[in-house]
Amino acid sequence: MNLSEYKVLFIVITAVVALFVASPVLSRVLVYPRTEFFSEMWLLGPNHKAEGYPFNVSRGQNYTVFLGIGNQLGYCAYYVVEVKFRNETQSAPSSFGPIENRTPSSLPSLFNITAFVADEQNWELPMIFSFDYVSENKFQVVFQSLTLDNEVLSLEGYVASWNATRSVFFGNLMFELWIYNSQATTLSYHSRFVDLKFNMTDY
Amino acid sequence: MKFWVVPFCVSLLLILFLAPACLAVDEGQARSAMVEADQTIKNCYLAVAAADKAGGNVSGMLSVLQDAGMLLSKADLAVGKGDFDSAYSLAVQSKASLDGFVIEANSVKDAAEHSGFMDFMINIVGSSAGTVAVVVGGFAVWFWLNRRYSKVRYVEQDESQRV
Repeated sequence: MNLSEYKVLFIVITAVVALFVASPVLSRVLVYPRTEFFSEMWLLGPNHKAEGYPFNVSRGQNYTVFLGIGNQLGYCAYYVVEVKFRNETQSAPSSFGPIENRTPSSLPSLFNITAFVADEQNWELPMIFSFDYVSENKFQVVFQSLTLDNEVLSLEGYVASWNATRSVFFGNLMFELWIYNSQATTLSYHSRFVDLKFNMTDY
Repeated sequence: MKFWVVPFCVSLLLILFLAPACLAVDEGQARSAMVEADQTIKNCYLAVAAADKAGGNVSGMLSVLQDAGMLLSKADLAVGKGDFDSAYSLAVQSKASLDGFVIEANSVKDAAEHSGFMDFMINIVGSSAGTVAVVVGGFAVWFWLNRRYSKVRYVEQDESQRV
């Protein structure tokens, strides 16, 4: 028997067994490391799709949307969503420029929604909301309250004027994402927001 | 009518009128309770984040923390409406819902760290050592077989020369 004839077979068998035994280590070593760390935020319509968002709003009518957050930061995150409302002339969060330079709306938060999301996990909240407002005259709508998931939020002092160009009484519901910084022990704006634009109709 | 009935009734009425005022929570108490609840939530968050980093299953704990956070948000809303009783009550509920949370989070973290250590020993150290053993063992077997069969060949050649 000439052993050198079996040399290749022996090497192949040894290599296969070695690879099989090394597979737990290789599965960790050969994984491409995560290089991008970020948060996602989304708003879906009533059918849980990116369509059918309410626009022409009636007073007292309930509308449903789904607010979602995805955590890809590499650690469990403590988010706060600040709910804000504005008319056409009031401060909006900035949408352009480098993401770290974007600023939130200067308006006060009407309500804070807390969300704790583990790394690589998503969080979603169905939200039912309605507006209470009166048409003071042909050119102005005066807001009274926003009901968000049975919480009545005062919109006292909020008004929307008639925009003749777009033929709307413009209202804008914004959800700004803030994140808790455990080093600074403060919440800071996470440069992300989603919003819904409305025409406050007179029926 | 007995002489003590009138003072008794007056005292009773005074108690009925003044008791709610005495028991009512002022803004300072409500805000103080909210600060405490907020700090508790932050401490619990740090504990649960550490447990998550260690690889523990924290989904149930995050749900509890979520509820506590929402109670605090509602307390904040109640303060804005001037309803300090509700704000205080919600803040106290929020804090109470997190009783024992840090201990639980730490135990999840410890269990996850132990499990992670075992996982490291089996899957990293064991696997690495096993791979080295297979390769070294393969060489050793090969050399042993080589030596043995070369001896056999030598003996066979020697015998054939004698014949």
